[in-house]
Amino acid sequence: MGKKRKRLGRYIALYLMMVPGIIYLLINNYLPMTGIVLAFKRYNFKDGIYKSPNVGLENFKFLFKTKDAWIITRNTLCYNLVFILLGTVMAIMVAILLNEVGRACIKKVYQTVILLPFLISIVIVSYLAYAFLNESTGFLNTTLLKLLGKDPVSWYTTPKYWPVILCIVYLWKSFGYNCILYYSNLVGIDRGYYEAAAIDGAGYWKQTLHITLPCLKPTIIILTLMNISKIFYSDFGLFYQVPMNQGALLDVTNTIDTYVYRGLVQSNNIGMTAAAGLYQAFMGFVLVVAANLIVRKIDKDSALF
Amino acid sequence: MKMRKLLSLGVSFVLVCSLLAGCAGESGGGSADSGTQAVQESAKEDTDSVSSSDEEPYVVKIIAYGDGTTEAAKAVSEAISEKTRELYNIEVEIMKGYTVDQLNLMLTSGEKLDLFPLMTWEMSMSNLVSNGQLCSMTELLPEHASQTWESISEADWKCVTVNGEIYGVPMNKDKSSNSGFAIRKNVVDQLGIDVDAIKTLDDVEEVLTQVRDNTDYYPLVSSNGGLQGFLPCDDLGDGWGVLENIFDDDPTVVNWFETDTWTDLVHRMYDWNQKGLIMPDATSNTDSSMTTIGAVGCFTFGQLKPGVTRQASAEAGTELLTGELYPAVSTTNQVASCYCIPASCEQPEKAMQILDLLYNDPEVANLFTNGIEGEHWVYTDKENNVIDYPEGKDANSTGYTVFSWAVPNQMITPVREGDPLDLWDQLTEFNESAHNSIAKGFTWDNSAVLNEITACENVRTKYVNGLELGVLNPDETIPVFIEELKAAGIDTIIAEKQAQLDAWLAKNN
Repeated sequence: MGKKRKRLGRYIALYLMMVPGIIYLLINNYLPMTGIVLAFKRYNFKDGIYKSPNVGLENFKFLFKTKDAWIITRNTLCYNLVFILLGTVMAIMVAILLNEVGRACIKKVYQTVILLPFLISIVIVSYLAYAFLNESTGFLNTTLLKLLGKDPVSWYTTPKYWPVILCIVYLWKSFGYNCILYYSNLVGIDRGYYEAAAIDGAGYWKQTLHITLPCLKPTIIILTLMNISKIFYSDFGLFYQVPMNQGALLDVTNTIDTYVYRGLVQSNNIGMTAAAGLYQAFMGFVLVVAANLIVRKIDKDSALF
Repeated sequence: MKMRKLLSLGVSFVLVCSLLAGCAGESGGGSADSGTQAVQESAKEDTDSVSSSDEEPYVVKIIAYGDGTTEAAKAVSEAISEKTRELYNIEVEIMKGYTVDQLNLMLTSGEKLDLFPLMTWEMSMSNLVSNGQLCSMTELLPEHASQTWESISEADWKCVTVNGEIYGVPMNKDKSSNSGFAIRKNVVDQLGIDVDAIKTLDDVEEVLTQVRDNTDYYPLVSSNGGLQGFLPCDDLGDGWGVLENIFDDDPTVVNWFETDTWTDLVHRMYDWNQKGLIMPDATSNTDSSMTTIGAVGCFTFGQLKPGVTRQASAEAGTELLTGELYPAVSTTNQVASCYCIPASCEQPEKAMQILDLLYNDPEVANLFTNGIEGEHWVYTDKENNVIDYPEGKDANSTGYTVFSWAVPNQMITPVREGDPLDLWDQLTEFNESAHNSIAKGFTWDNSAVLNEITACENVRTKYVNGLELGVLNPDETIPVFIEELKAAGIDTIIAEKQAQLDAWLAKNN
């Protein structure tokens, strides 16, 4: 008992630091959760949220009527998996390279350049992409494909290219931010390890493999777990703005978020969009718990809970 | 070890919070706004109850169609308020530059709003009604807007009636339309085209071919990524289940995407696109057809009415000519674009009074439609009530953009320089001469098939623009499209609609 109290006293400052964040989460993320009932209601503006008539699972029907539920779930999941995988690999690679750059001023320039795309608004990114992909004036059709002697492609109506296009755009835009997170970790690794390894005759590759990566492991796991918890949420701008909201591309660009948005804007039906949102949240929850279980099996200390 | 876990949990919390902080800034600002507004309003109510003699004027917030600067909208609001303050102790606040998405969000969030225009091609009245987002006018009209109530025909009221309740005041504009096309005048002159001789799609194809071969303009342009409709079909409100051809007077509800009319159109468009008669990247064009023609294009399909040539030329910023492909028809949807009071309106009777004034008082209607004299327009012929933009200004530079038809009653406002003096008579005559759809006045209640409609809506988004602009191969795509629509439940919708239409026809004929 006394020991516990002593420990509480020792860490009280840390707990206090958590308080604002927790209050924020309670107000912003937990209180609105009562709105979940909307998914089971035929929402009527006159009666309000809690008095609208109950309709059971009626609102979920439209999702599973067509292949939509399958398509949007598949897209959301697969894109995010690829993003997490490629994103992490690329960020770590670049972070290691960045760490090797000797001169401080050059390092600063690299850091800025790498981070810049992350700060550009997605709407502007979508027009940058448009400048590449426009059928008649785009860079790819007028320059690159011509040089290779290939026929121009109607990019915005050909779904098969879009998984690749979206991955490239995502990586270009986001790797800078993650890279900086990893880089800050790299800087903190004790130089002594490397010196000792060098004396033992370990080459650069061996050093990276046996010192750098293991030191990065906790960060990698935490960041990946956090990404997995968001695996059912997609970057709305990326999937809505970059493909220019093209109907023909929906099979490969529609994710749960864009689907819900379209539903709300077009049919104004709050019950159904709440149902889709609940489906998203529920699947996300299941996934986080599962991912955490797996992590706990592999490395007990790194699991979140 | 426990501590480490707790710490990592804490760190992740903080990280998540910092990530969310960005979003919080935005949404926080919004809610603070509405918060202060609520406070102001409740304060207002308090004063109301305290002293009724010296009441604060109620503010009627109106959304007006089209863009405009905040200053211009404020100036116009003030000019109208001067009059309404005296008459009803009401002030008006006009908001311009709203997109339909923003309007939808306003309606959904219950933000302060008293009057808004519902355009049938943007929003569905039956959707809004089944969501409970509109305020019924059935009782308000005779009491607070008697003049309007009497001047609109019973047939027209039917078009804005859902489940026996009236939900809007139809705009007094073109209530029917003949469909046809608009084409650049300079191209017509250059190629020596006889516009009046263009009567069929084969004629159109010939013209487009000439344009492709002899000019630098894109022949056929798209409108906001879609094809402007021009076939005489009655979409019965939302296009899910239609009457294929209004001229046939056939009350059979069919799936538009399975009709021969539509299939033929799509095959033709595919053929045209292969031949280069349609602008490239037509489906990702985010401009209206008029803006596109003004910039790079030559030809579009569209709806016509008296005075449309001048209006379209002004929108495109270049001179256009128009021609007819199908004679005038009138459907529920063409009448049903109306001004509505949202359910969130606190004092609907006051909104009703203002709407009555906008509909009947020429001075107020003119202010609302065209703005302030001298600043946004000047008389060129006061006797005949003709106006134009002030010296050195045009439609885009006055700050108060005008869509003269998107107001409650354009027929009591002045005509524009270049229009015939008897434009409103012509318009009335045109409205009366149209072939009425057999289902004109029918509105339907979609609440029984909402799931099916939402599912179908998602399928439509995927295919229609690509097919109608000839980008997708119809032989491969149409069967898939139809199959997905069937899975989504189109046949259930059509059966429901047919049952409602049959019941309506039995009652009204």
